[in-house]
Amino acid sequence: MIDREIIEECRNGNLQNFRKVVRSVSPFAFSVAFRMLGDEEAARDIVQESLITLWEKIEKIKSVESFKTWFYRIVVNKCYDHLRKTKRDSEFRPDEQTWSVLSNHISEEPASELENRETAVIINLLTEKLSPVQKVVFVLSDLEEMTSDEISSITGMSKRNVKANLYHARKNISGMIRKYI
Amino acid sequence: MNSEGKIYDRILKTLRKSKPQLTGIEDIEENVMRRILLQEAKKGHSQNLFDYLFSWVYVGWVRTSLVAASILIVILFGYQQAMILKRVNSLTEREILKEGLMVTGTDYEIRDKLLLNKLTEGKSHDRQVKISERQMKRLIKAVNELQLKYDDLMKVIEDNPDLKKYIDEKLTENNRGKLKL
Repeated sequence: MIDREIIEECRNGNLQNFRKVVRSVSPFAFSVAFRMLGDEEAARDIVQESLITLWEKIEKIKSVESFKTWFYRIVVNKCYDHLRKTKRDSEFRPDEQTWSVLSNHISEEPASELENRETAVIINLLTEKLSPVQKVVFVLSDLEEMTSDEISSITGMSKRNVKANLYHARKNISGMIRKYI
Repeated sequence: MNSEGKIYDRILKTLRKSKPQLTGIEDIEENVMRRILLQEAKKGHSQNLFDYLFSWVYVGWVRTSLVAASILIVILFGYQQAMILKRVNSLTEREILKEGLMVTGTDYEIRDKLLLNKLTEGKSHDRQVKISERQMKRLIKAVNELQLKYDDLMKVIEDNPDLKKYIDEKLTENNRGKLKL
């Protein structure tokens, strides 16, 4: 993902090399944040905040190998805080036109790529009833395709806890599919 | 797999394929760098000094502890110095009674010194008379006042022959009485 030397340079306070890190890690940080929050602007803010935290704490990374997990943890924690703060009050419902476009996309074979806006609509609809923890586990496991070991090291939860939350998240999402799709 | 499961898998497939697209990565990069530079500038020289002093410590919490301990020591030292200064000032303002016999000072005081010597019959030099400087000054003052009153009395007696004669007679009688004893 990133050269070992670049991270070592950043740890020594080299800000120019940090630019390379920003360019390299921003896309996947945005991917995680956007899938969790379903809001492009909020996800961009989370990316910026996470990068600043990364610079502030980069000295504390125990090993360069654990950089990715460590940075994921920063992003996930910030998303988690954001989700807890902004609890959605009203039920999320897409309008008729958006819904028909989405239905077409879902039924297409092979599956077509969605725009950010469409992805946000689907994620917000399906994960509406999930708790922040369930949402984190679902995004990391089913969308980012991480193993339960990786999720466990990022979130700090036990593997059993990860699996339990994932089970409830999937069950909840199935309920939403039954209800809306 | 039931239809609900198929739809779930299809949605997941679509969402996985639709990687959220981060646009304007340059803006994020610039914002992050600007904020980091601002933070670095805010940290100022104090932290640089501590970094310079404790750069030999690599363990984060040990370095923090040392910085905290050094700040505490500096505060304690400052407090102690302030207390010492306060006490010294208090002592310099306090009146000291010097238990000594040597009188030094102006010509006027030297005259007093000679008088003291006369009154104590020269014993003031060999430390047989133990009086303080304040007591000595009071004594000299009393002697001077007594001398003035004596001079006035003698003048009155000299001016009045009858009174002089009466006093002479009384003194003679008194002396005669003493001889009888």
